[in-house]
Amino acid sequence: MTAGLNFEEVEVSFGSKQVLRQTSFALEPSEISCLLGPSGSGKTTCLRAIAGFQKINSGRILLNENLLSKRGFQLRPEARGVGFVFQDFALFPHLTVFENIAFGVSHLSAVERKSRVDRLLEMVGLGALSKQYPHQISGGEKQRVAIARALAPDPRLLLLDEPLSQLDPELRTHLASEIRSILKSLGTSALMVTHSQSEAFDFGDRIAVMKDGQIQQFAEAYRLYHEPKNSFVADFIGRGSFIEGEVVGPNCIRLELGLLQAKLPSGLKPQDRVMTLVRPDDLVFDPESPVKLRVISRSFRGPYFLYRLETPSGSRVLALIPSHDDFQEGEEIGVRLEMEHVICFRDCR
Amino acid sequence: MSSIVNALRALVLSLPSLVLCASILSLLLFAFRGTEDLWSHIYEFVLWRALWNTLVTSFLAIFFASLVGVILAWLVVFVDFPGRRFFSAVLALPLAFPAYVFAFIAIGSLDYSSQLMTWLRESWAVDGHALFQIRSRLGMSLVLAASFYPYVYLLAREAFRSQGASLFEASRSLGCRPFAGVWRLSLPLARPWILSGVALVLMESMADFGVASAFNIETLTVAVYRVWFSMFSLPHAAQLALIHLGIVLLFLGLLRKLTREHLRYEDRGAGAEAPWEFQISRPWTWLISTGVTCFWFVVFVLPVLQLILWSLPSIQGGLDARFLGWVRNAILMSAATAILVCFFAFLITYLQRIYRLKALFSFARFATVAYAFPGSVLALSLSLVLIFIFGSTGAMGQWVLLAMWMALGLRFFAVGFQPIYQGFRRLSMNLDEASQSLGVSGFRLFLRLHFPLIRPSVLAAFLFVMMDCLKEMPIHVMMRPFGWDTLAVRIFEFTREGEWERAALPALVIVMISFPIVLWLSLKLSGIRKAEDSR
Repeated sequence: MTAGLNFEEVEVSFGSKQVLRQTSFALEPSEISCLLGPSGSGKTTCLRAIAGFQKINSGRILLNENLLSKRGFQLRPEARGVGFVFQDFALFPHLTVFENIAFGVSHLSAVERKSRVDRLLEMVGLGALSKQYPHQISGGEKQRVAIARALAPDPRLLLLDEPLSQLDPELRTHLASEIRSILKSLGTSALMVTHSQSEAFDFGDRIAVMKDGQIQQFAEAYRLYHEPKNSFVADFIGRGSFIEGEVVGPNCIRLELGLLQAKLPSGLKPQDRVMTLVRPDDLVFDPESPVKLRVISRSFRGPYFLYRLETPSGSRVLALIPSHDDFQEGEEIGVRLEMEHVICFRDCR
Repeated sequence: MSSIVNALRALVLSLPSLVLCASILSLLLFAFRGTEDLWSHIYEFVLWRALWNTLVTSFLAIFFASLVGVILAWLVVFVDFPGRRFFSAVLALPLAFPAYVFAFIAIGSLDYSSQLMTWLRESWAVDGHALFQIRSRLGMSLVLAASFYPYVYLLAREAFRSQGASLFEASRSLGCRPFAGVWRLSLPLARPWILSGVALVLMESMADFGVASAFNIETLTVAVYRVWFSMFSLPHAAQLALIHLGIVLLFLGLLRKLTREHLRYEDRGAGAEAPWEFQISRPWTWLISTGVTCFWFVVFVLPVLQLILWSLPSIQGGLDARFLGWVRNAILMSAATAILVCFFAFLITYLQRIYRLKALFSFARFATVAYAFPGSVLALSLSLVLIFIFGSTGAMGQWVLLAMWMALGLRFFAVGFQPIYQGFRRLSMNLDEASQSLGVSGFRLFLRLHFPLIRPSVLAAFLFVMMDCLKEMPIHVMMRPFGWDTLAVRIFEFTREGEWERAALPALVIVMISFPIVLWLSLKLSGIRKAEDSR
């Protein structure tokens, strides 16, 4: 059975340092989500609070309407029915793969236990390794064992703490989608902590972006990218640079790179200074354009070059330009703005 | 030319192992010279009793030492009780006591005529002696356990400390209760280390000579001594020594097999994080603190106080030249042995690093096996080598001192070899290659890279060997030239005559010298682990 999670105005502090500040979010049953944020933003603390390894100072944590934690009450970790996958896998080194997975189902009869473990082994594709010890298998295999072990007791919610960070980059994308499809097939809710956007995009139905112990935005990847709620999310998700501009009319901004016609956030009036996010794909190569930018550096990306360009006033932007043309550092090239989603915020500096 | 250098190098490197081989050979050769009549006497009246006594006392000692060592280590690592940091360091201190010092303190303070027992009898009409007799196999094994439990304690402590919190958190998220984790995780994971500690206790208990002779319990070591020095039968002493050696190696082999089977998971998983802590209510932590304090008083503070009390008259009476002579002899012999051991250990590991000598290195390393040999066996076998060379004991003269030096060196070769070998192993070969690529090689490489990096390991090796030599008794007693007494020899003589007060001062000197070394070892072990974790 899967469950919804409610994380309500939770506060956690270590000594005088407040790690979670009135953090709130909710997971739907069977939902797979990610907590994404820079290090020190409180992601792992959220996860540990849900698992019961971390006491909370105030607020409430509920799983399927059942209280897990509040001030002065912590349900024991072993009684929560919450699985946990650790960053370092934390496989028990003295037990075989089979015994590791069977660790949490020792209450079952030997026959049931074996069939449960065998089914999980098959699901993660490790049937042949059941007698191996953790030090005899590869990182990716350890990861699968850790997942199978956490799933064995049939948890109501699976928590994953940066589970892919110790693996090769190529393996990560592959495993993230694989874990996702296993969880989807079981219908288990899951929450994964990561600091890698691509992992979060591969894994989560929705992604919660965290900063300084607070959720900045909790939404699908598409909306985080194209409709960020604030400048932190805009800056943190995807690549891009903020360019200064000025509101010159209703739904019109003047940037150094040209005039932009777009629907503006409410509350902006003419003459307001704004910061506009320019993503690398918002700039199009146009030799006819009056806007000429100087190439500072470039890196080859197969079909594209990613150019770092400098405006006459010294601001820098990124531009993704097809690699049919090959511009050298120091050259000036013409570009044109072509934005579908204009992301701008009042300049508070 | 180079072939001569190679041969010379091989000879020097294999010297310790060659001496060990020669001593084993001489033991074997002498053992077959025995006459039948005496052997049947020994077989009937000595062997079985000595064997039984050795096995019973050793196994009881292992039982007590493992129990106490593991429990204490578990407490200081996993439970936050008042005084935990302090006890974590000082619980290893009884290692500074030679077991035979514990023995005479125990007899002197718990025997029938001791002040405590007299006071109990006269003031309370309690016959403590009827309840518990210290001069028994049980008493002897308790004394052995009290002096050897720190081996188990230190190794188990490091094993527990390396068990990162995430393993326990994982077990709890899988529905395992905290205390069930002790059985399902902590103990099985620490088993290889605990077994290594048990192996040390086994070797030390089986090699014990001082405690058994103080308690007047005839173990195999005492039997070898008696047959050698009272029955004057070298062949029969050699036979007994061989049997003794065989038993020690048999049990060590069994233990090693157990340890090996579990070393396959040497990959410890999580290590760098702080260990898990058990939440225990306040009154319990105070209870634990009280218990640990009482235990520490019994095994360390009270014995030290008793030694000081007994030593006072001797100190007030003024230290005579003879006493200073024993101290000088003991320190000279120990320091000379430590230098000998460090020299060979360093030479062997260093040349192996540079020239990658595989077979030669394995043979050179064979000498570390001597650590498992009881001191009495080594003393006898090296004396036999001398007798082979000189024909009789009379003609040896001061050569005996040389033999004693070699016997001590062999006995504690492993003690000095391990830190130096491990010290070199921790230095990546890339360091050598990096400095060679910077133009530093040969002797300058040694001076600028290896020496500064390996110095702490050599110092550790020197101190450990020195301490073990000071504490060693049978080699001192059985091999010293006439009139050349050391502290251990005097303690043996005084103890034999029941003169605890006179034995106390020499014992105090040994404890005072060992005390800082043990404390340093106890603190340093954690330091090494931290350094390895941060790597």
